Amino acid sequence: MAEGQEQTELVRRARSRDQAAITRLYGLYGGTVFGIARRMLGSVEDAEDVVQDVFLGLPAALATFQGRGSLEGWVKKVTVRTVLMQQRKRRTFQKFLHKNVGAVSTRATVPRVLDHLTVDDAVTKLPESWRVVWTLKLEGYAHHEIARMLGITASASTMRFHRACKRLREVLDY
Amino acid sequence: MVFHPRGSRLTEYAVGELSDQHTGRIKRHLARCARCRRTVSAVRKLLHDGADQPDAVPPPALLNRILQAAESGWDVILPVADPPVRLGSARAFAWLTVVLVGVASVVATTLWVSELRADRSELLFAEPHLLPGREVAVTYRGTSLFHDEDRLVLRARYRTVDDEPYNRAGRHVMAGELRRVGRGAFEGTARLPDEAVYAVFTVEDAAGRVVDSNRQTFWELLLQEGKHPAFEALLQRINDHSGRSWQVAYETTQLMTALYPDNPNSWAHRVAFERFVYPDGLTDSLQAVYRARFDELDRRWNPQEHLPAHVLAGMFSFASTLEGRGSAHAEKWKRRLLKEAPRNAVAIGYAVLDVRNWEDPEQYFVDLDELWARVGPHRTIAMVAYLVAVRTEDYAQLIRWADRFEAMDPFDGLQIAIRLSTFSASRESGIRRLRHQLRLLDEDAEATRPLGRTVNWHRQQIDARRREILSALGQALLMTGDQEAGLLALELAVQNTWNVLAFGALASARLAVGDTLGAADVTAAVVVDPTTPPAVRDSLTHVALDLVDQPSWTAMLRAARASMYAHVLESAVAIRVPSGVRVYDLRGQRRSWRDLVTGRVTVVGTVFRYGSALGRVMRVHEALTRAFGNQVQMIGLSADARSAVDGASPFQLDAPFPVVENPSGELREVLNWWGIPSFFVLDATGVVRFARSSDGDVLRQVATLLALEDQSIVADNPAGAEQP
Repeated sequence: MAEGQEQTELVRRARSRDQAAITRLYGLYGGTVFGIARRMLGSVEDAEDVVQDVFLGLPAALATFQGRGSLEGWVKKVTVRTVLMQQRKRRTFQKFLHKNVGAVSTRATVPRVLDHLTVDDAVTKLPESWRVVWTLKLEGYAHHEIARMLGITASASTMRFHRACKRLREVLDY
Repeated sequence: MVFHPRGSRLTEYAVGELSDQHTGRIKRHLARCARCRRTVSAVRKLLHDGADQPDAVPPPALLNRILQAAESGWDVILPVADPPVRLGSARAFAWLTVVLVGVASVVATTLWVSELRADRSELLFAEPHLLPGREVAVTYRGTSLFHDEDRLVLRARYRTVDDEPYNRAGRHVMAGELRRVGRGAFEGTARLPDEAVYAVFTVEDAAGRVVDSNRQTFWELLLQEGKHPAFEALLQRINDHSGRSWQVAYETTQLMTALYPDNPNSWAHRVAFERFVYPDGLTDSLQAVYRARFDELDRRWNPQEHLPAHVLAGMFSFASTLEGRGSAHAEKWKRRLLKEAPRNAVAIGYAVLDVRNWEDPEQYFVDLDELWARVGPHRTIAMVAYLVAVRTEDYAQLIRWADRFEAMDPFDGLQIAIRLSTFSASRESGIRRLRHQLRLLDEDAEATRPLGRTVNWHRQQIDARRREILSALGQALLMTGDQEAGLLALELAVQNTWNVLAFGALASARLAVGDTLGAADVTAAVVVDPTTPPAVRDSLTHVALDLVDQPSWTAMLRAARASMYAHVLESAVAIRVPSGVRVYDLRGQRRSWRDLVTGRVTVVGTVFRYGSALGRVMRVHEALTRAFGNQVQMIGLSADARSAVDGASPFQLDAPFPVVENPSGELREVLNWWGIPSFFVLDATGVVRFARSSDGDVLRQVATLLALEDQSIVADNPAGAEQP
């Protein structure tokens, strides 16, 4: 079966909630979704939640997939939006608890002891707003697209990306 | 002096996002500046290395979790379009949680076809009915839910002819093993005990961590009699669906009357169900049919001597449900039942009523003892005597009958232990029983795991039960003066939970050992809980302010409130009710569900014509009004079906809140609610945030939603303010 046909068939089966198709999609894109979510959220546990949401929601969401671009690109976009939604949810909840209890420790980034710091490890240490822009840039979005997604100006996106790069270079000694 | 471009410009250049106008100048600068060239190449290398990171690997167990959630009908609505970037408070909730919609459906099936097909998996038995004590070949065609498994377990809950309604302490067995025989297919054999007449099945992995419960409807087998399910199997099917689905139970009574029209119990069950779901008058046209059937059976059985107990009990029950307990027919069959079949369960129930004597409790116990000796040990006698002892505070009788009651029904052991531990005369016995209950928790937990539930789910239930026991034990130990042990038990009981009673006892215990700060701290939890009556709240506040100063107390209240909210939010869900859901008031007028439930926090309470559910809803409504005024509203959702005869609403309820019904049943499906009296708490946008809540939980959940909505939360610009 040609690759395009195979993709169409996979999408059709996933839309009808065929578990084998969902498993196949997970095999193809699970790592990508997890990677994007982990970079943007800086937490393995939160990233797992995103992976779960994305793959549970795919059967319904695939109804909007027109097949014009690659399925991987579409899944990445949906992942990014899901993460942004997750962050809003988290921020709102933190704000709520903060008002009631003062300081709140929410789910922390998993502590690591590392001999060697990778770029991904260093990214998890960035402030959230820099980390998000960094990840989106790495996913190939232009600053004006990032700006639209985050509701900021393109120059703010540029500035955050620059600061992220600067911090990473310092930490990683680039 | 050399002027270097700004760092951000170099970064923009490095990623190819600089305008043509600036690009030329940067290029010219880079041609002569090694330092800036290093910056650009470092940014490019960083991006390259970042993109080149090995693919992260999600934990292997995650896929199973996802497939299991998908299997049980969980759905998530993903943001396939860019979300709006700034949200007002009313809309903030919309982004708070990904929408999870639990979807369940009852699979309609012809009863005597043994396999009930789920959308994606099926369980097939070589023999399409239950063959107790014999091995039967089984095939399971699963999905990728068990893609890593080579061996699965077929678990069953079975019922015998004597089992009672509800599934409080089901008989669970591992009915067989299934081995993988091909892609997604498993085969094996199943065997059920000799005494089984009805059984329901699930398929799970060997560790019990992943369960295919056919969307909580299970697969079922019924004992066959000739070409049809046996009467006893149908009866146990009704009992098994008690608390699960009265609709299925009612349909089974209809089948009973079709298959066993000569058995008076068939009609007694059917008429009882119709009395339950329809009000007087609505089934009048059916009454003539039932009466003719009763007269026919009465003519047939009345002249005969030595009738079987089940016929006597059936005729009495049929007459009682059709004509009332005091009717001439009911009295006639009751006399025969009590005389000719005194050990029959229905007979015992009425014999217990006959010896009722509140004027002379001592004589009451003598009569109950005599009945116990005459008809033999029976749960009803033990339970009634135990409750009489509680009410009359006769502790000697209490301990004596508690032993008999527990022997008849070990499932009630914990409640008996808690009850005994509260009275000083029976406290030692209560404490001993509570410790025994603690030990039981760790013994054979698998036998008590409900069918369709995972081992992890069950472990959480056991932990909650352990905390309940520790709370009662701690309070009892304090009453005996054992401060140290009592304090320890209570400290353990309140870990990771919200238990107002335990908090109150712990406050006293901490105070007794001089821990004033700790006492005030836990008192704050009692004070902020909305179920605490205002007078108690005031007096506790006075006590606390003797222990700590006002600023500390204010901080403690704030922390307690946040802790309560956090505990409450742990059980939050997000179920969106479709806007087109059709609801009608009890006059039959169509109402807009959206209009009914938006604008304010809403509690939906399910109301029934019979039983205690209506009283509960009224009480919760009063408590809500007292605690929150008009910030919250109550809506009654009628659980009664419309009349099959004229389509009229089952009853006219004079309630101080709107009552609606949803005859087409969408709400039942969306809420995954099948008739158990329940509360659902909705936020001001109409999204269900808490499902199937208990009375006390409702108040805490409403308090949490109101607090949350009171924050005027504006979900920030997702990127937040510019970092300093």
